[in-house]
Amino acid sequence: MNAQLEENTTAVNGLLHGRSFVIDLEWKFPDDLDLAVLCVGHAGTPNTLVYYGSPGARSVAPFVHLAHESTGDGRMKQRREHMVVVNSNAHERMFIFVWDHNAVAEGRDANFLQDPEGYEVTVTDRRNQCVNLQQAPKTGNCILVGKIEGNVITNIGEPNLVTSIDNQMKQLSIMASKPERAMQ
Amino acid sequence: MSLNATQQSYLDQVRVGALSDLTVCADLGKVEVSAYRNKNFRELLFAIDSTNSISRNDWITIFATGLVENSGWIEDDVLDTGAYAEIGHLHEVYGRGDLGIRIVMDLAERATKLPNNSMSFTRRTIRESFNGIRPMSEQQLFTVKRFFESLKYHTKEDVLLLLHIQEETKGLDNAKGFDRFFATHIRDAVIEQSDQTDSSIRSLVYSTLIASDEVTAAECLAITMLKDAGFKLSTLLLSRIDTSMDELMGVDFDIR
Repeated sequence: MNAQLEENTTAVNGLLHGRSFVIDLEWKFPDDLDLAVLCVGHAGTPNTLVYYGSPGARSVAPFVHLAHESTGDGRMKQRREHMVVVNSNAHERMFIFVWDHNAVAEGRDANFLQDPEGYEVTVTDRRNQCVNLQQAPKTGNCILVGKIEGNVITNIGEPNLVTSIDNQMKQLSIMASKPERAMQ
Repeated sequence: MSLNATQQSYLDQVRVGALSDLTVCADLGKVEVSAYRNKNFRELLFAIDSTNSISRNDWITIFATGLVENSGWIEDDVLDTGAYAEIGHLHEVYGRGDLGIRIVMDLAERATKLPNNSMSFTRRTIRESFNGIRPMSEQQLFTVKRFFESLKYHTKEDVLLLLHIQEETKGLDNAKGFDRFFATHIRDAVIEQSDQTDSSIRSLVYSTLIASDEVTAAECLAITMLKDAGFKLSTLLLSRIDTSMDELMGVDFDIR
């Protein structure tokens, strides 16, 4: 088993209460980050990627919704994205991704190292318990930040280089399956 | 945060469910009323409320009644301006609990002289209590209704608050009566403005309902009530009912 992946996937950050929670992404650098959740369905149901191009829904599947996208330009830009998970039980597990929009479009590294604390992902449950997922990857433009399975939230922080936003669903699915393969 | 180690440990146990409702209420119910004048104890109360894990009615007495009666926030029927600052700060630090709106409403109703920012603070407390994962519980609905029923008329801020609550409770198990509460106040807000030249509230309501990404039973009921009240609605707005009816088959429209 890949030692790094083993270390990453066994680092349990916390336990969530209930089946509803919010995921917040806030950042200072780079210019435009995107928050996404890959919902891995129970046996026989397809995976769903919730992101700005497919913001999901709360009342119907996938019961995950990107509620607020970043708005504004330049200094007025609000660097925040907010995801609402109404029912996590609808999925076997969920993977949280953050990517640099421009770097992915250009197929280059995001160079997150310019500001190691440039972004922060926070998961908050109905008991107002917060779990912070924060990493400073050295390479790549798309980070597999963490995994939620049942009520266990796990820090992963795996950097990847995504070269196209057109087939990101496929790429993210492959990326998300890596830790699972490592654990087998 | 200024909780001592014992209080922090107690809070942690409440948060993870290691202490039952009964135990927490018994422990805090024994506390002398003079303790409510201690800022540190009030912080513990707000921190426990923020865990949203105490659902007994005794908790309302300990938290809301206890703070209104014994905190010293109200003297000679005047609400101390420091109360809002303290409540706001504790909500920022710990998050908003089930009784966050209740305490603000109770204080506002009990005192005869309120700070100038009372309405905006109450609206903000209500607004920030709904963050997409907290349904409108019976307790919350009871308290929020008190706010809206106390209004002489609906301002644009009140309508924005209603629309925010509706948006942030979509897909959740809201208390029975919420749909009707929302629809009635939306209709009344539009009716109140119908004899005025300023149509900003009407425009706000119509455009929000048309743009709604997931049409709910509450929104359908609001459109229906506006139609029944004699407002001429656009085909686009009426189509929101038609297109959503199939999706809402089986939903209790809660018309009482």
